[in-house]
Amino acid sequence: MVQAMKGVLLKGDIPLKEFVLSLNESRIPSEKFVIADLDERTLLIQPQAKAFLEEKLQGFVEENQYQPPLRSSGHSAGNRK
Amino acid sequence: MEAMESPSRGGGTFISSHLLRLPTETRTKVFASAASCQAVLRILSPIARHYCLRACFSGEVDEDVVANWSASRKNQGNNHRRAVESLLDLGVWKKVLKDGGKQANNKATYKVNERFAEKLRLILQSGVRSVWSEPTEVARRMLPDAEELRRLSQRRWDSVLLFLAGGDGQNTGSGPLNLEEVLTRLGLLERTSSVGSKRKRDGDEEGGVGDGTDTESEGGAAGPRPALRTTPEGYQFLLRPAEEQVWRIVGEFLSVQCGLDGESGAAAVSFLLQLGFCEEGKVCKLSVLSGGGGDAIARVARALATLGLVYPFESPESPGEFWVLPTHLSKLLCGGPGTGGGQGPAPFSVLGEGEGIIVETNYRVYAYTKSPLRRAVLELFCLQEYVLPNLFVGRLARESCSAAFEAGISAELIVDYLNRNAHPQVHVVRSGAPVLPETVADGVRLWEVEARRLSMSECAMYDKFESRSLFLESLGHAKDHGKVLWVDEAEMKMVVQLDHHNSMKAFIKEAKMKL
Repeated sequence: MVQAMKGVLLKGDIPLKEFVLSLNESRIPSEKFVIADLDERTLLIQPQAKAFLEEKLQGFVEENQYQPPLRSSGHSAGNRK
Repeated sequence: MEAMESPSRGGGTFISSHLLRLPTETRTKVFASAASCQAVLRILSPIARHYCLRACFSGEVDEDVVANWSASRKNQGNNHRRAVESLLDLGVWKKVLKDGGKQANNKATYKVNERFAEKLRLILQSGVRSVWSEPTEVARRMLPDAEELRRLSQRRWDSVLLFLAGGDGQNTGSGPLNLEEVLTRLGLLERTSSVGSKRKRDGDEEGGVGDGTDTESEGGAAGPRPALRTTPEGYQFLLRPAEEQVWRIVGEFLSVQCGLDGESGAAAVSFLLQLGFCEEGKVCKLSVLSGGGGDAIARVARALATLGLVYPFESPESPGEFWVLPTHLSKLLCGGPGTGGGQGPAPFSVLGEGEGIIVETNYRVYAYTKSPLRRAVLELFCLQEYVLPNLFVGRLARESCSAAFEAGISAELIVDYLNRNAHPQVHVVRSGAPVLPETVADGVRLWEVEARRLSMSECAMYDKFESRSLFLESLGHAKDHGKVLWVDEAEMKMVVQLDHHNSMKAFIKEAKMKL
């Protein structure tokens, strides 16, 4: 019998996928969202977890972003924010 | 995006792509005017033009004779085929089988459209009387000079795009051109259901635009049409070459207002054809043009005036007579995508004297411009640092570009925009080297890759197939529809887009019955 499962396919690079897996591990069993670990870059997850994951992953990417130190000279870049 | 680029492939120019969309009868009506025929001849490729002139006196020519015309040279095969195809597509030539196709080795003959051939002969023998004439002395004194005209028309056109960008550029109201409708139909704007919902990007930009600029500020929240939102296509549109922008808006207006067929459609196209090829500084009386579609022409002329493509005026000598003076923007109508893009300054550049963008290797952007539109467009992907009356200084930054990617603008589009609008001096200084420093271009592209690092898509996964043949058949079905997202043949698992789930289910059921 062919089995069909609905979900959200998550494709990313390896670190991103591992991060998602670690997030999944840290949750209690009833709240786990990874349905299947397809290959090293692909995961199948519960549709409900999409919004939550997007937020988490955004934070993850931002955190790992190198921010060049702002120069404090006359060219005061970035203080328009 | 593909859809936007496709008109270039059809006939080479935007105007010919519009001609291709017309029904045959309308096209024949377009050929009724000698001036239009001349214009059509000018939009053809050089080879096609040559073929046309060769065949116009005989009226028809055999297929193998035509084939011989290019046989002598190598690498001409493709150009030859394309030329003949474009003539057939435009309805200038028609393929007719000899003897009604009864003979076994039926050879085809190309027949030149009779009206077209007749007009062409007329042009060649006696010349065509142009509808464009030098303005009279009285009129000349009244008309704006070239500089002024350029400024006026550019401002009109900019205000149209500003309207799209979210500023309060153009007030639509009851003009001959319902801009809001045209832009919505093009999918550049969309109505949001909740009235008063603030547009997302306006929120980010307000701080940037409002202060420091004394000209039209973008009144984000208090904007005139809170229920409209610019779509991703709309943002992309803002960064596209001017000729494409002009043509898409005018083309859409034509099909909405004049329809594609009938007298009015034909008259409108004839008008545009002549407008695209007129000389600078010449004027034209509207009533001369109206061959049956005077009403339509007047409407088109009024719409074009709103867009800044023509400058309408009333004759000082005889009141009630309307004339138009084409502006530099109307040249864009018949300019193809080939004329504007590529390296070097564009021939029909809409940049004013001494305007343009300079990008330094440290990601700083200097844009010499006075136009609020250009500033608004730059702010889509630049952080604004200073604004002087004629200069915008900004910085390409990861955050600002990410915001642009989110709005639907791609890195290629940004790079292309910066290249296309480079300051003329940059072409001189960086002769040979890319106009936009490679580090910057690569930086922007890398940011995009990073922004699209992760993809999430709704899907359905299938596994536990009974047999390999069932699996392969199902996979084939999904592949035919281009819906496969992921597959593992060894494990017999596949992931298909969710919208294909029902069709997939039905297919598997059916396949199982058969096996």
